[in-house]
Amino acid sequence: MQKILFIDPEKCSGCRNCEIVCSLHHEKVCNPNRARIHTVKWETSGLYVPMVCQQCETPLCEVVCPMHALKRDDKTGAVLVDYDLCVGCRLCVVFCPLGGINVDTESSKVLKCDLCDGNPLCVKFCEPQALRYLDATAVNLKKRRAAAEKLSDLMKRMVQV
Amino acid sequence: MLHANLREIVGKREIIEEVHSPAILKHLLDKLAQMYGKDFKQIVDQREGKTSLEFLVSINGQVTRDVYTKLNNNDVVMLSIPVGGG
Amino acid sequence: MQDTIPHLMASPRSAKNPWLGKRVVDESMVWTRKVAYIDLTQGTIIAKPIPKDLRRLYLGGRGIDMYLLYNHLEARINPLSPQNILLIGVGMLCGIPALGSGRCDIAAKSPLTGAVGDSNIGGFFAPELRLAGFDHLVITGKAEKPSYLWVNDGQIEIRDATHLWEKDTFETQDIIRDDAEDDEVKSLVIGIAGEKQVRFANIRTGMKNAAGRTGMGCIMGAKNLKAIAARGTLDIEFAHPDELIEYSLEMNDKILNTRWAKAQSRWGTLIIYSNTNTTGLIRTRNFQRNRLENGEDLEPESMDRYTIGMSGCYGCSVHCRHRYVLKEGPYAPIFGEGPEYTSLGAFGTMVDCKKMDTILVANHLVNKYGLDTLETGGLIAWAMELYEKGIINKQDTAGLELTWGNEDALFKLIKQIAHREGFGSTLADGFKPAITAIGKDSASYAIQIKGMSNLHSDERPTPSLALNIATSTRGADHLRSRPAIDLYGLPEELLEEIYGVPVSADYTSYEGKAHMVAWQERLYAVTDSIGICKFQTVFCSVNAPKWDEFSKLIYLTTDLQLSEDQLMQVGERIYTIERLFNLREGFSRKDDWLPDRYFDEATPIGLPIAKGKKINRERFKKMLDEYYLLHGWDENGVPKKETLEKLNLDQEPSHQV
Repeated sequence: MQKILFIDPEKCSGCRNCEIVCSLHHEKVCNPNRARIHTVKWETSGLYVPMVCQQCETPLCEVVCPMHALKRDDKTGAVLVDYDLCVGCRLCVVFCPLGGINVDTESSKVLKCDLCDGNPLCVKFCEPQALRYLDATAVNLKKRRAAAEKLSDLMKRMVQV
Repeated sequence: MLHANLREIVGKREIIEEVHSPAILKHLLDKLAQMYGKDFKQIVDQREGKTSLEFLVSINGQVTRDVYTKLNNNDVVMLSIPVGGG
Repeated sequence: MQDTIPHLMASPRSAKNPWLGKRVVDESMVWTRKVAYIDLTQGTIIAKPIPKDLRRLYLGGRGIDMYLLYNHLEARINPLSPQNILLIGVGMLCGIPALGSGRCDIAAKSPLTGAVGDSNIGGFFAPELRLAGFDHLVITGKAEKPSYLWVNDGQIEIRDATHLWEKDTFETQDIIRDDAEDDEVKSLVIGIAGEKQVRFANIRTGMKNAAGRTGMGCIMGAKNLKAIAARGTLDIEFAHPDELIEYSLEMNDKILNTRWAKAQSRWGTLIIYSNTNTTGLIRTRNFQRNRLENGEDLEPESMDRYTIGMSGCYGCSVHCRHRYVLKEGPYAPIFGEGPEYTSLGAFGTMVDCKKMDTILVANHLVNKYGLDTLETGGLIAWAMELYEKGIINKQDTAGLELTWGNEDALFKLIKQIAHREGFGSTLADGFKPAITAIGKDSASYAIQIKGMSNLHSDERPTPSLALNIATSTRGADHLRSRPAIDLYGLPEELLEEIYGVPVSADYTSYEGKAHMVAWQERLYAVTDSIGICKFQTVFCSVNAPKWDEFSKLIYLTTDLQLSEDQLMQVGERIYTIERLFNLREGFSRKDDWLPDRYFDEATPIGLPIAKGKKINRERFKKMLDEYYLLHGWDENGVPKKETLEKLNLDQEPSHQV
């Protein structure tokens, strides 16, 4: 059963453990700038939203890549970058509607979530469970609707304050 | 007096329980465990036969781990968790 | 050591990402981070490496700050003069995904007490400073006009802050972010209170975090320094990253499985109130009563009305503070974070206000103006008692009716203190000058030590906590050495295992308590130096990390091998250099003492264990002697020669950096 990385922003406490462990695991350093996940914060209204590649069903990154360097991994369902093919044109960064791909501040190459080969560490470090790794079937349309409602509630609250 | 999640379970911060004399703490804790279950069942560490270190149980402010401590009329038993700092 | 080896050193992952390579780390980043000396008068900035030997002796954060303070500060200068130095220090473990590793230590000579000024702040600033290439800043002199420091990837710039002057602490951070066009900029800022040099003004970052105590914001104000902004993209390299991930996860799980962490995750530090108020261990009406009657609305569950979720500091899984919204009342709408147990006492129990609404508004005001919540509440509670006793009257307060529970007067006085207006200007200099200004019998009502207000805790039933506040190097203070676990009545075998000596499990006893205090001093000194959260060490729970875990974490991050004993000695060294600093500034044994009321007035209420209690002068004196002896200090509290030799302190000041 394929799983997806499910985000529930309402539960996020903004601690950035996901970013730290992501960069520690992938780059062997702590550098949130080089993490594949990022918590976007509206500090003065208390809104935190973890943003990470959602491994889209029709990944625009894959579509626009001139080198066909992005391919889905059958095992995990993650869309992976083949760095032997990638030329660093960053079209994928431009076209991703979620900001799910970022540019490495050090090597200038693109970075995206690879679901840690099916064992995402950010999920393990997320105590409030704003990040969960769930069976795809569990995240059906109904759940998405509930999540969307929560998001719009949060947005409304943000406007109120 | 009930604090933290124990208070949530019961929905009140104070309960008055009558226990038959001669009473000991164990009678009260057993009764509460029966009434409310859940975390109340974990207050007594069954292996040790004492109150668990994860909880803070005091009688009139005196912290006790001995479930055979005697209870007297009007004693205040506080069931809480160990949080300090203040 | 910073080199990336392209294409060659193939780790399993880098087979796919060859240019990312595996970093060859023979030493970790801690050794590459620098100390910068910034002279605001001259406008010069010099960066230097931090000697490895110094790291071994003082680690980082508070430890190195204290070394720098003792080494660089001229004795007995006026703390508000340009000669005072402001130190910013990043903790040694900063950047790990555990234990709230984002803590920053800020130090100077305190303008409130004249003793060690030192305050520790969470949030997200310290990691950003480290990402920007620096672990320590030493700021001297005074800028000609309002300025702020911009720290970015190895560069430091002094920038004009004229447009930030008079902005509150939230606006200031927003404007700096807007100016930089970068949402990730983190700043330490002062509010109006710092600008007006209120002697207990704090330094703030984010919505909630504050370096609250000892008036560090006042020093920034005196230096015309409105903010320190950091933005960094430099890697923080750790010696053993994979093992560190594994061990961090283990630490987090260990902590989160405890009941206290679960309760804090849900209600924050407010949860402490349930225990202390029920028992009778808190101060209300300044020092008149030790339990707040009808104080149900201050119980932590009240926050359920306002909270929209919890918020955590950098690298912390516990997330102990509320994000709250106050929708009604004259100050609404307010979005804020917190409040802490401290604010609940400062604006609740101490001044006899019994509504959570009051706490939330007052908390917001002090945060916005940049005032220390505790000192502000402590002074207002004192003023209210003076008003009640007729020592001050309505003329002295310029019309404010300082009656118990008068929340309107509370809010007005907070504003006046921050702006140095009306009666607020009398309180804005803290206890010592205010006592001189008011005169009469005002001193005897002041619950302060070395010029700093005590928390709203009542230590009369608890000798260990009383010794803690009397001896703390920065004045009445619960964060230097509080043996909070003394309140849990733990089995004596367990206490002996922790403290290494027999200690009474009875918290009303004096037996072994000096040991407890000295042990906690060492532990917290190291905690503040490695830059993790005190709540995640043996403060709330015996099961929380301590020496052995610290030792392992230091090894995994820096490759430095320090045994538990060596770490304890580091703690002792840091505490002793603070003691040396205070002695040099003229403090002595007479300053390690409690206000008379602790000895003379018995607690009037509370559960039987806490009722009718006061501290016994003779026994307290003996406990203080015992405490000095444990430290290797003479009967006047002066470290002996052999003690200094043992701690490598006999050559101080050594000016290694």
